Amino acid sequence: MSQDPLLEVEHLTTIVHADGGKVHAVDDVSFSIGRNETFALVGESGCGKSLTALSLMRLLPDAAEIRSGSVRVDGEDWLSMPELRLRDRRGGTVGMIFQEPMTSLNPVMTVGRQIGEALVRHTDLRGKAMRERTLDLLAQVGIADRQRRYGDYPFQLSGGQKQRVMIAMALAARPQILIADEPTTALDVTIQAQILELMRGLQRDQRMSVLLITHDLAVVSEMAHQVAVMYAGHLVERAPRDAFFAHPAHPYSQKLFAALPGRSRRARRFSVIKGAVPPLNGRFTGCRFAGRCESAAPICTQTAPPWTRLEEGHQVRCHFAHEIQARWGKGEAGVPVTGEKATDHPTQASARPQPSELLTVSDLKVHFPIYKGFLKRAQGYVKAVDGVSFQIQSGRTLALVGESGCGKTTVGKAILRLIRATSGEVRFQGTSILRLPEARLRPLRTDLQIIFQDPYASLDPRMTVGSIVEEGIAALRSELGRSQRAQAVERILDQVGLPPASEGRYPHEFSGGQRQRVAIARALAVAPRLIVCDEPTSALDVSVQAQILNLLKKLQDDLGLAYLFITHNLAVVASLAHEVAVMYLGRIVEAGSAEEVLDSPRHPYTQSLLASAPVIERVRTARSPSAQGEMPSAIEPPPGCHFAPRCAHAMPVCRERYPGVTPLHADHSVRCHLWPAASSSPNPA
Amino acid sequence: MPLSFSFWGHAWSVEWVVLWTDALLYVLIVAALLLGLYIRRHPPLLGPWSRVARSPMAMGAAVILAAYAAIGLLDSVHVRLPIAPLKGSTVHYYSPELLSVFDLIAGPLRTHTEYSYSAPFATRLYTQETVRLPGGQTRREYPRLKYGGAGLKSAADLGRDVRARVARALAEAGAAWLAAAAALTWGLARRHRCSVPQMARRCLRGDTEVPWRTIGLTFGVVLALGWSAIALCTHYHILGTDEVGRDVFYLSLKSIRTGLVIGTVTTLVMLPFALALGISAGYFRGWVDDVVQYVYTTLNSIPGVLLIAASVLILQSYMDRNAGLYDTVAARADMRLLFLCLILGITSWTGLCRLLRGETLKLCEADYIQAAKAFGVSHGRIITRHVLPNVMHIVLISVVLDFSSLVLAEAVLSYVGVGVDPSMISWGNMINSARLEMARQPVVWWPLASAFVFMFALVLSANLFADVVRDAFDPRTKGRGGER
Repeated sequence: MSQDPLLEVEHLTTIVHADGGKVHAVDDVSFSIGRNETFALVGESGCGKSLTALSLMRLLPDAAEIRSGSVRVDGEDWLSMPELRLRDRRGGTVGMIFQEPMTSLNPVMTVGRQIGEALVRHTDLRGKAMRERTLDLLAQVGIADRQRRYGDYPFQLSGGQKQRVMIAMALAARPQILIADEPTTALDVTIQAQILELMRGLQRDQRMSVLLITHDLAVVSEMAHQVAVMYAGHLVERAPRDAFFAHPAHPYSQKLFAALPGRSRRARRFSVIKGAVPPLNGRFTGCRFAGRCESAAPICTQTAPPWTRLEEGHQVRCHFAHEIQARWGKGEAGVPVTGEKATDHPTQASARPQPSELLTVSDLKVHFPIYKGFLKRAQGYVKAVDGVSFQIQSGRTLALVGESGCGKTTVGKAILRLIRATSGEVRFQGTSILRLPEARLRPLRTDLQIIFQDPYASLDPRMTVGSIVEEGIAALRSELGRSQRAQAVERILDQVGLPPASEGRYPHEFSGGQRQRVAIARALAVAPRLIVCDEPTSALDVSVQAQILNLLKKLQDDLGLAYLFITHNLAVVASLAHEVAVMYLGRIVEAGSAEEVLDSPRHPYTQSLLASAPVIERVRTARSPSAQGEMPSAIEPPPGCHFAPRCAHAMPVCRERYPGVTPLHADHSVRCHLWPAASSSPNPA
Repeated sequence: MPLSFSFWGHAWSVEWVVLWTDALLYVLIVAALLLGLYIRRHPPLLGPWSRVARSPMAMGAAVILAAYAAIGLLDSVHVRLPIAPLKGSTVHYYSPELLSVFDLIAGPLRTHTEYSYSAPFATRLYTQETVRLPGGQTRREYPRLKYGGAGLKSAADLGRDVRARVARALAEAGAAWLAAAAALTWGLARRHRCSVPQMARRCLRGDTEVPWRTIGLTFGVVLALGWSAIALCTHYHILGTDEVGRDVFYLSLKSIRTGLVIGTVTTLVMLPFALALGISAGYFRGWVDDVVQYVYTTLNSIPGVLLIAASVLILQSYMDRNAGLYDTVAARADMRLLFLCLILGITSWTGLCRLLRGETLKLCEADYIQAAKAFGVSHGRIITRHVLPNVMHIVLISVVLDFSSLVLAEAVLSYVGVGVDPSMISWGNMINSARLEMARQPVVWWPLASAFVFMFALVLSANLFADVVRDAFDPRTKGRGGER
């Protein structure tokens, strides 16, 4: 840590006035950020990390108030500074970027004017000089064609470009500290890699300090110099990056690592953190994590643990810190891989009947017409899904991977006939279902079900959990009587691990993870054979994600379910899928068994997806380059291979025609000109 | 046509007549009660309402609205009194005049008619009359009123007499208020399991969940005003008389029912159109959406007043040609009121329909409706179980907001001459006649002022209430506790 910290936070306490009383959202938080270093504040949602940042800036919502503590930036006390002077400092000394680039820019102002606004507020530049500086900033954040972008409106930019503009605005006044609140959470993995690279470069070149707020340990591993872990409004561990990733000391930090899905954890159950974050409206007498800690002792619930110093800069709030440290020497791995061994190995399918073909999708196309002009004639088509074929066998999981906008969700909905397919065929156990009349489709609806991404939007807020789960049974299994239905609901709620009393309660009384369990219960209620899981964990915290993935695995083992698992998260894919299909702009570019595709990816897009995903490394290593640019529009896809404009290996032929399918093995195929169908010898990539 | 059955008293009997608007009002009340019971049993629906109940502004407005509603309901139970039977006849005949329970209670007010205009609290007419003196000469003078201040020996006693009556009324009102407050405090103390003085102190400090202090204060003010008015109105025309000598206070109170009927029954007419068309347009899209959109854009582009005027005039000429259809003048006026509600309802569903269409379009993209579709749940069930409950807050907000604008619309339409029947007492008709009253010299200002004050109090409290309801149901303010 630097001798002269730039930002010092001491004993900061912020409370939020809520219906149920005072919530101690930020409780006695102290940390400091040195010059020219990146400080990462890690924690799950609701732990108070964003409120900490807002408290620093004194930008709290009305219901929140700073109770005590001090914030010193460059020697100035921010909490006692008059608002008028503080306004110069915000954006001047400290710049801030937010999570959602879509809503952080004013939609009716051009990019140039929005950046200019920040310049007018904090610098003396006007007129031509201001324009020059704005263009400079756009160049710094890596915006191509900046002369044109200067006059563009936010809706003309893509998500990644918007986030770049946000960063340019934050940099306008050459701040000493940049606060980045989940800067890449809303972005795709290839774009995330680009933005993280940009932020790393800027931090180095401009000699800034960065306060990075994130839930993603992998992002921390790539960006941070210092790490602080926050839990229930409280810091529980502070350490330099290398020390933290070598030996996370607090049991909570260790659990966070263990809950991460990853390739090394294939076929194991994830270690989960039992229970949930305690409510913050009471006072704590002991350690806040005690209720969920496996090694909790009586002392943990009686006295709050003080900070214990383990080594230079590494501090932890745990009564047993020294015992944990003592274990480090005994050959225990730094990043613990403590997942329990699965009782039933999903790949050991020998015990079950031979998997049979369940779902066959061939040449599925979904085109959305674009209506234009006075008479609203279709002027063109968005080819959201453009010829997709795959198979799923019973009891197996196919992961459909791709970035947002590639059409993967549309595939899922078209299979369930929630969206009309334009052409192609979907056969479920031999029955073609796309053209089936609704009445004949209904019996099949018990076999095909779906789980949605956002557990907050997928449950009707005005229905009890019991009636939500019962709805499907009532609609599809009408032979059951009222009491039988009630029994079925009870059994299913128990199966997904919800307390039996949840039937009469409403969705808003449950946490995100529990709601997702309700959604799973609703799908399970009709005893399906195949469940389309549409990003079921991407709205959840890491520890909860692990619980849900474990549940899905267990259900697959117990009930022989097949999953079509739609996701953008490769780490989740690795831990759950048997087969993987990678989608790009409406087409599957690579498909095969999970091991094949993840371990020896052949398509440049798959390679760049794997390279872009941030990974936790104990020691930083050089990374292979990820894809440049962003996904083109599906209205006018580039001629030839859709990926050619972003591909590092693009050849002239790539821009002329779309490559055909090249089978590499029995269970691995790719569509790329690098792997011509005629020659089976791999082209060096 | 009116249902009728008779009550047999020992000395008198009346015929109960249910007018069409009465029936609709009863239906509305029953529906509101059932809805209330339903909401009580469903916590997510109860939430916003308990936020309304915690708001002092809403509860103050609710007390005033309740006073209006009580008068309006008393005025909606109609009877016909019997005429003394002919000697030797056993057949009972009933008067052609339709009276409401309110009319019976306010008997003196109704029957105390003067010759013409008189100012509030006047003892003499506002216009000069030629009086024949005993000697055969004639003289122009302001004659004494038949009822207003009739008990006074001289006009000089007026102030003293009014003060004495008001003082007595206030004392009685105060006693009644204290009794009510004591009963309430006792009840609350039992519910909260604390002593009565403790509860009283909490109420006075405003330290209760429901703002009993505000409710009590508003109730006290309403009680004091009402009690004084009742004490005075039998001896004076407290708001003067109109051109034909009817008591303006009576007219103002009678107008309440007209306003309430227009404000509520219109909603009842409008809701089925708006709900059915709006939701089906948003849910089914395609040609259904096209048709519904076409209908409401067309309807919206016809000037509303023109459409209403045309319909009312057609109806009026029809009723003139078929005068025999209605057995009383009141029944005929009521039919016209009902048709006005119908026409207003048909012209005003478009706004809500458009809102519901938009909201349904949004809801249909929600994952829980997609999930229901994946279960093959029928369209009818999806609409009633998922869509309808989730657009109900919009319906509620717009109904409450529309109420006051409909009350005002009645006034405007009657003023233009296409509103309620001229024989029906309404604020609009009072304002319409004020056209001439304001033009004469000296000006007759009190009918207009009374109509204005009564209408203003109703619309203001309805608006304040609606405001709180909208805030309570607004999803964006959900997280905040109460208002600040």
